[in-house]
Amino acid sequence: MTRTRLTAPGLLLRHLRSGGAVSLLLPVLVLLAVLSIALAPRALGQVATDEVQQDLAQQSPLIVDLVATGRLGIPLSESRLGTEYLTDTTESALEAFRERIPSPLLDATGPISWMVQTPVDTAEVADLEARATLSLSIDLEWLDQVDIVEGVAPTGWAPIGGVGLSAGEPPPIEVAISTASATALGVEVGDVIGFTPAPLVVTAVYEPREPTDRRWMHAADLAAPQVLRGERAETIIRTSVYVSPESFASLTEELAVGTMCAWMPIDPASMSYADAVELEEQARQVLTASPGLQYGGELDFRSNLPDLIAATMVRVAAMSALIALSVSGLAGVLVAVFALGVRSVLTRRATALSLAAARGAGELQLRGVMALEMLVLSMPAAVLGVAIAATLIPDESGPLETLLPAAVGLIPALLAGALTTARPSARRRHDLTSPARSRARIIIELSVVALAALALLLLSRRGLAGPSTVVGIDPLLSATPLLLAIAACLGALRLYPWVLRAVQQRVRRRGDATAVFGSARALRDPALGFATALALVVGVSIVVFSTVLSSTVSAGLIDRAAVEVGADARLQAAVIDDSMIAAVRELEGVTAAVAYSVTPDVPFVVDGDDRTASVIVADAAALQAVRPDLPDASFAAGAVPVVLSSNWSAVSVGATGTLGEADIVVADVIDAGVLPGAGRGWILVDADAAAALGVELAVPTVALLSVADDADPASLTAEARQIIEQAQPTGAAVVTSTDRATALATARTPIVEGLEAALVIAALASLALMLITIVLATAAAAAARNRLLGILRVIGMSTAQLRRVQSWELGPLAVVALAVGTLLGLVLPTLVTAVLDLRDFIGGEAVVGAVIEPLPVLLVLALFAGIVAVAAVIALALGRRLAPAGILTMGDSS
Amino acid sequence: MMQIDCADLVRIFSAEGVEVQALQGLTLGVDRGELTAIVGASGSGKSTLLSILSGLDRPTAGRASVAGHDLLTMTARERTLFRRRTIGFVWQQTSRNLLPYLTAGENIAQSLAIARRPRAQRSRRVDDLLELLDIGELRDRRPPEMSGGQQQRVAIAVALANEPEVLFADEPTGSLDEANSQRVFDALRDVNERLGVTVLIVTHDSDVSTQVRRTVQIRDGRTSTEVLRSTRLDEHGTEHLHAREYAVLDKVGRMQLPQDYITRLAMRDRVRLELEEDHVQVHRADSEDER
Repeated sequence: MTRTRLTAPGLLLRHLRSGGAVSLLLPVLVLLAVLSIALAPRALGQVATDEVQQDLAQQSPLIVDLVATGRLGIPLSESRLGTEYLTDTTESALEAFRERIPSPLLDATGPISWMVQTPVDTAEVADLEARATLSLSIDLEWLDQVDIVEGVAPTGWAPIGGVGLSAGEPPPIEVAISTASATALGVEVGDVIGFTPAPLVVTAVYEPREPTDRRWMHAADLAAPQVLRGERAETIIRTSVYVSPESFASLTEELAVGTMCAWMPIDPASMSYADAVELEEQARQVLTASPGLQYGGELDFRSNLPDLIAATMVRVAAMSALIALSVSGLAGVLVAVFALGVRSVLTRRATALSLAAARGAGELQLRGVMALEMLVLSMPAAVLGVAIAATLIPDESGPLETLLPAAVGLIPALLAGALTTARPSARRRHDLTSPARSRARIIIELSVVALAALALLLLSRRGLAGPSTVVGIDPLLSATPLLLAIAACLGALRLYPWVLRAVQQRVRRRGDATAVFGSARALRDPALGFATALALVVGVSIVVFSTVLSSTVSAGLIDRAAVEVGADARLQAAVIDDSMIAAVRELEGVTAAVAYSVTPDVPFVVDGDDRTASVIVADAAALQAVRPDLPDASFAAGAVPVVLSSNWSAVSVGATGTLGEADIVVADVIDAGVLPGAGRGWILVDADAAAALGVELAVPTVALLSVADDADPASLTAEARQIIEQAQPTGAAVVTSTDRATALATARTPIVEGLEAALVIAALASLALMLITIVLATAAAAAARNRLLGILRVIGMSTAQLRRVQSWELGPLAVVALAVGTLLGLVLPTLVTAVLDLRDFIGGEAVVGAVIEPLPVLLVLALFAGIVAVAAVIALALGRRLAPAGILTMGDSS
Repeated sequence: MMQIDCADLVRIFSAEGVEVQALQGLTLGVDRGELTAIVGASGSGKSTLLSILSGLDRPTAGRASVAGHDLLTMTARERTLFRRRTIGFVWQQTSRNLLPYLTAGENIAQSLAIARRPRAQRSRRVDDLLELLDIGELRDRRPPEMSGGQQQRVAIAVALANEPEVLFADEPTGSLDEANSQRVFDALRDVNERLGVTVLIVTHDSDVSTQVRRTVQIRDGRTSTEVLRSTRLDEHGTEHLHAREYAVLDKVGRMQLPQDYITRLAMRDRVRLELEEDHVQVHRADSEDER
């Protein structure tokens, strides 16, 4: 005979071991909840890191890298310095400066590179039509960066003492030139270029060893010539050539007035969003710090890095706020599901509890035991969840942060502690106990409603938050949807009996026995309680909210892309003239095309006020064809009709004034953002009226294209681009193009995709939780239902009739949840877009409002109906395992 | 001093629009060490009385004390301690007496654990109790592995775990056959005699009620009659059980006539009382009285 343990823990263990399989659901739920809560910040951090990395990677290194320009300090006392001055003094000062950058910025910062250049000066190249300018560069490491394809590396230069040269005439400076520059200038090894202080002789032609290396961006004219257009429209070829570092001593005068530049490449791939705040601060410190060059040397670093990081932080904050909004409701559903689960365990424990209470167990003892039971059930699952999350996505957060999600495991314990009724009621008499402690209920309900109203009031008084004011997760904004949902749910539950009563009277008149019975039962002995109603109402509202927010975000992105591109596609080039546009129009699939010029800073007068604007000149009819949404400003005769951007608030339609030599009349005033590339203040004039203005106008540089619906905008844009590129004058700047699809793809940054995924996950999670809710609640009512069904079967109800009676159990509540939840889900996005500026997130200029698309909403509601049906079937199938005959003989346990 | 002392006990259950007066001024006194049976029809209020006496329910009005504890003024904490130390009980359904997943020994130990008895004493106490009730072999068996009678005897052991002064039993033999009923009842009587515990049994089992010294009948929320039994030796030296039925007279002089007296004499509405030298006569109100 084994002696069983009679200690309190031993007895408790026996008590816990008798829990059975139903208790398995809670740990599983806790595990999933903890896992999601632990993974969410990690996933969010990952998405934010992707966002930082992608954003910085997409930007030009010219604005991301830490780039400095200034001048080299050269001591005046020593006129002849050796190269060691550069290596020892300057190099070490710059190295030390880089070493002073703290981590994590230092980890993302590449080695510092620097060079010195003489001022740009005119060079005389034989047989060259264009003007040539160049500068001499000294880079200590230049030989590691290039491959000399012809000739030999230049040697050091000294101004006096060349062999075979007449006195006073300095010897030529040996230089190395890039193949691209050599071609542009038409020089080769051995050629001499006229330059001051001495002619240059080309001794080497080189190719960049790594053409994609960032140094060729920071020192672009060392890799290829820059072709510029001078004031008289002449072509200027600008380039740089390397001289030997040995020449430094002889060139100190020129270098002292030249420029020194240095740069540290930034590698976004090694950045983490977790360090964003530090990175921004450290980058700003670098920009204000000085490398401390000697002898009057100056070097100021500049970079858009801190601003770009700050902008990403704002976007991530907006995303976090939106996700918190969707998830706060989910937390409510989760707690409701936990409550249902805990209650089902408590029901199983009811006998033991009342027995222990009657034997003299105190209230604290009982609540403690139940809380402990829940703790034993859920804490291992919670810890396991944290462990899995840490294994799946490791991060460097501290042990406290890592373990914090496990606190979810405490919720069932707290609920058990709160919900355990320690009243050792000898026998519960339903006929004799008051159904609701109504005063307490009214007080609680009123306080929830008041709280929701207060949150709403605070939100509405705060109004639309400015882009930079949203930092982190706003608790008020996050809690409001849940509070509103609870308030709406309470209201619905108050109204529910009235509606049901009305339904009951109606079905009674119709005389359908099962409907009368079912509605009466739903009214008088509802099987499902507040927790179920709350879970369903909030669940439906989350699903609808996610759907609406999803369509709002995608509509906002599409709008933004459209505004950004200005048409189906946009091209920009040095010049886009009528013949090019005509050729583009010929392309199959292009339905319309227009080119316009933007002439900046043109003075004009409206309503007697002098103003300045960019004048946009476009063929009005062609512009109308591409952009039917723009007002028509066709010029016929008389005053020139113009369209004004809305920067001048006082100007109204019909106002008159002058532009150049022409009288103008304001035909319309529209938002500045509708025409890309035009700046913030512009005035649109028909091309036919351009001559009348008498203003020197720029050449057209922007083209907008309309593309047929069945055509591919990307390939058409590429074709159009080719046409325009081929027609560009020699040496003109590169043609850029973008189309709607590309702009949309660019706008879909990692955080946009992250939000979309989060919305889908929130919707799916709430559907799953609703399924569990219904199964739990219906299963909890199984004993009572089966007893009832047994009786009904005995009095002769058919299976079909029984099924109809059962449908009344869940049906009315599901319908109410559907109605209230849908309403809430539609109202919340409107509220959210009113208080949260989605521009932070989507970008663009226009304020984003809620977009409700009926089809997806109807689709998810149908999904909800399906879930209810499936859950009901599952629960009834579970319940049916108890045979009615057995239930009848079991008798009333009370 | 009386161990159980109730006077004018009233318990009203009120729900929306309904009021049920379960006890309507019940008066009952039980002395220390007494074994008393309370009988009454279903709905007469006997279970309500037991709930109040065992500290599970509160009376609406009146006076009630058990072992010196005033049941009307007790705080929740005192009530818990009262249940823990002063009383023990046995209900009809075994499911409400014992936890099915604990063995007999563990069920007793649980009571001890709730009362925070020192651990060292528990095993000994469990053995003592099992021995007292002669069910030592059940120590490691769980309730589903026992007969109904065995379960009830274990339940008595559990109820006695913390050495209560009063033991309440609500239909302890309700769902048992005759032999088992007798055994359970014997156990209760044994406990009463050996430990001196005051025992109050609620029952409608006539066999049980005839075996106790005092039976109190409850009708419509009041004690109506009492039967006192005693054994007397007659002149031949044989023992005779002697039972005498008394009606309960409350402080203001109200009493209930036994139902069968009333039906037999066809008494209705009112009766005529006649005071004699040492008793009161109750007469049917005849037609001539009506005039």
